[in-house]
Amino acid sequence: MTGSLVRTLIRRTAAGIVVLWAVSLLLFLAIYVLPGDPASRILGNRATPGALAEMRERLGLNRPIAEQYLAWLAGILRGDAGTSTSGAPVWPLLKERGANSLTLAAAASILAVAIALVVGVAGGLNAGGPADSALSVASLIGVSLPDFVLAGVLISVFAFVLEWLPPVSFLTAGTTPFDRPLILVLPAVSLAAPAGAWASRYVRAAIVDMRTAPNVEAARLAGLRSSRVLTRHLLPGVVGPIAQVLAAVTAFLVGGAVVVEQVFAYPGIGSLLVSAVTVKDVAIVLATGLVMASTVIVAFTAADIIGVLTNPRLR
Amino acid sequence: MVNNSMHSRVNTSFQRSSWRHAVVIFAVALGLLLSACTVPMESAAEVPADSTGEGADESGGWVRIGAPSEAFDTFNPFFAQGLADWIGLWGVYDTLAWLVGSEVQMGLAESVTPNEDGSEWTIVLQEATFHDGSPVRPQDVVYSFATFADPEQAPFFAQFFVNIDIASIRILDEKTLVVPLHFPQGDFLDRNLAMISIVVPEGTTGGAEAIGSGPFKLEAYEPGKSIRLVRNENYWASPPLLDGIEVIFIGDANARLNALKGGEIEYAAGINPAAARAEADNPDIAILPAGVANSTAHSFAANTTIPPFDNPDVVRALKLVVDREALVNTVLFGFGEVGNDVVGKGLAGYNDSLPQVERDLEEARRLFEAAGVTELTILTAEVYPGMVAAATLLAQQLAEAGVTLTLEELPADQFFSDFMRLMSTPLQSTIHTNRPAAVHAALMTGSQGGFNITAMAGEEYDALLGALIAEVDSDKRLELGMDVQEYLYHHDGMIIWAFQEDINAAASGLSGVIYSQSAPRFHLASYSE
Repeated sequence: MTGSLVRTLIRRTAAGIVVLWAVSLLLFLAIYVLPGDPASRILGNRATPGALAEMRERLGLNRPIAEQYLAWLAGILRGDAGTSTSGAPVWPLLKERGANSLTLAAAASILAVAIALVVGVAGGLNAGGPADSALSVASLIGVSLPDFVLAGVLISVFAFVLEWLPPVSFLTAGTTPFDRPLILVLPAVSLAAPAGAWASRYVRAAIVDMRTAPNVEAARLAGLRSSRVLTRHLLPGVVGPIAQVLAAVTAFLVGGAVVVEQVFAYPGIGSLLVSAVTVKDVAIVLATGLVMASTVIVAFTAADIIGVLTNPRLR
Repeated sequence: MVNNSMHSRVNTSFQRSSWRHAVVIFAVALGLLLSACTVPMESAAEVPADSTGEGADESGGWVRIGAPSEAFDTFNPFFAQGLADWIGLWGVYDTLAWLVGSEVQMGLAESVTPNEDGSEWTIVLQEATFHDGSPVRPQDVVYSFATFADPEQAPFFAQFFVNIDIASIRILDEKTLVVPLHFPQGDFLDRNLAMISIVVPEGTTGGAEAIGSGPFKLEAYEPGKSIRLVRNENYWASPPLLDGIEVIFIGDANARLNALKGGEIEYAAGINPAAARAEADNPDIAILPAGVANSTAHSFAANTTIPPFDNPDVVRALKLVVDREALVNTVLFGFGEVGNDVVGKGLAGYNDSLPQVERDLEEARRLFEAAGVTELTILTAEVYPGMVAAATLLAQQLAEAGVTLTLEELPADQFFSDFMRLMSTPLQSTIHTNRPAAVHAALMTGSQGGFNITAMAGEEYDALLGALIAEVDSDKRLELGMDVQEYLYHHDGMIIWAFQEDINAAASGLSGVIYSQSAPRFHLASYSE
């Protein structure tokens, strides 16, 4: 690796860290500074001046905001995500839920990548043809269909009409997703379809562009077999942009997880966030928010770095 | 050889789009953080109702229950908020007394008796043991009271225990204790112990290893997943019929219904009214409206100390303009009953001799005109399903009386975020958990009341309420409760337009579920497929 490449990578990584820090600040401010008082929100119509004072004390809201933020940030850097309103440490909760989400995300990623590659490559190679048009419409529907609508349709068909799969994906005490892998199918498809459809459009565009590239044209004119043109000349050229798109799929999955986990009652980090927002558990909301934001930022930074590695002009 | 211009073109468009997506995702995430779902849980646990069916004879079997949970719950009876935890906690623990239907029943306490002026209460315990075989002692009761009274450990429940003079509790023998109060209180059993009086072994606070004296023993508790309870064969009352129950955390109402329809659970705690309508003809599941006793009171709250509602005629006009039937049918899909401006319908001590407030548009128009009121503003938020729709409908109903109502709608999570603001808002939407009228009045109204957003107080009312609270004789207290309600009916700015029923659903073979304070209890339930 050249020195300039290393410098670029360091720069991109540093940028990712700065964005992450900015997100942490924004999350914190959004919760603590924007209108209202977390203590008042938690107590709802049980609030009295006395109860409010107690709750503010419990949440540490009486300290200056900067001090609260620094204490929280220092905790995060030490790997201590704080304690929830009930006094339970947040970190074990995050680990357990995070592992479940990771399992689901892994299943969804494999599906999404498969959809993106099959649909994108098939469309790209047949650009302008009827197959391409059909795939294009299908992917557009996939992108624009909200996940909860798709999930509802999948549940109706596969759980209630065909009765092949369970309509919910909860786990009971002492079990993991691997004990009942079938519960992952519908949420994984609900997550993967929009992400895969979105990514397939970029894969297709990359293939279409590459087909008219001089080296591919030249290979074809030289009379090489089309399969050889594809494997030797066309595909190597699109690996970079495609890898980048696929890294970005992660960001899609993170956003979708919030909705899909809730719809299927799957105990992941997305449903944890929804539940924490409901009871306004500040520490859990902050920690899950940060984990989800970092996942997105890491994915985009990775996408950037892949871009740099595969395209010397960006170095 | 790689075509660079192609690369950068794809890259640029990709980057632009990916940033747009990043922004969208971030905005969604932030929106979620700040939005939605601010159901203010009054002590998770309020309203009783009647049993959903007759207990059958056959025993055995497991029942799986889908219920919403809260992120921070840890099976701690002093802090729990989510319904799932409460269903489990009420299986594992006993309470001294509890509300069944509209009646206070004894639980772990054999008797609870006041002295002459209600300043001391004698509690005699049942002969009972905890799940580890150790006896339930008065010391455990004292410890439980002390922990509940500590606002650090029990911020949501301490209000029920502040009046107990814990340091002065006397233990007479291994079954008896005498509990002195700071201020004499005739309704200590009804307003405090029947609401919450869980007894834990001294020194414990629940958790994954919780030990209680209840009908079920805790076998497993895993946050986010489920609570598994097995029958306590040695239960001091009769042991449950079921082998056990498993409370599964399912946060989304539609997911609970799907789980029930798919045969993954046998009981869904809380489903949507619209879904209940849609499933009415499904033979495999029974829709169980929990009755008005297990309901949420919807109201428009007018602050009687702030213009124009400091004029009683304007409050009166507002009461007369509301078309309660229309609100129940459209906003609540018919799952509710019209209210009559007093909390507690369907529960013991409710004053149903008060004439139902009916719509009288002409009189309302006349009163508004006389008071010169042509414009009003209501503060509202979708804190509970239907609140904003109700305010919108109110605007139409007021328009018919010549008054323009402006909706000031807050995001749901912001509604409760400024206590002082709510206390000084002329008109707002609000909800209350339906509980006995006298209990509600003592908790929420009067100069000592907590969330008294209508500013219902004054010397006359405080005296009336004070007499109710102090009365030891239950017949006299009932009478005084009627008077308090009549006073509220005439003077309070709380317009309770409806009671919205909780709606649960169960597999058709499940029977014997009992409701106490909105939570189903399964120790008398049985299930046959």
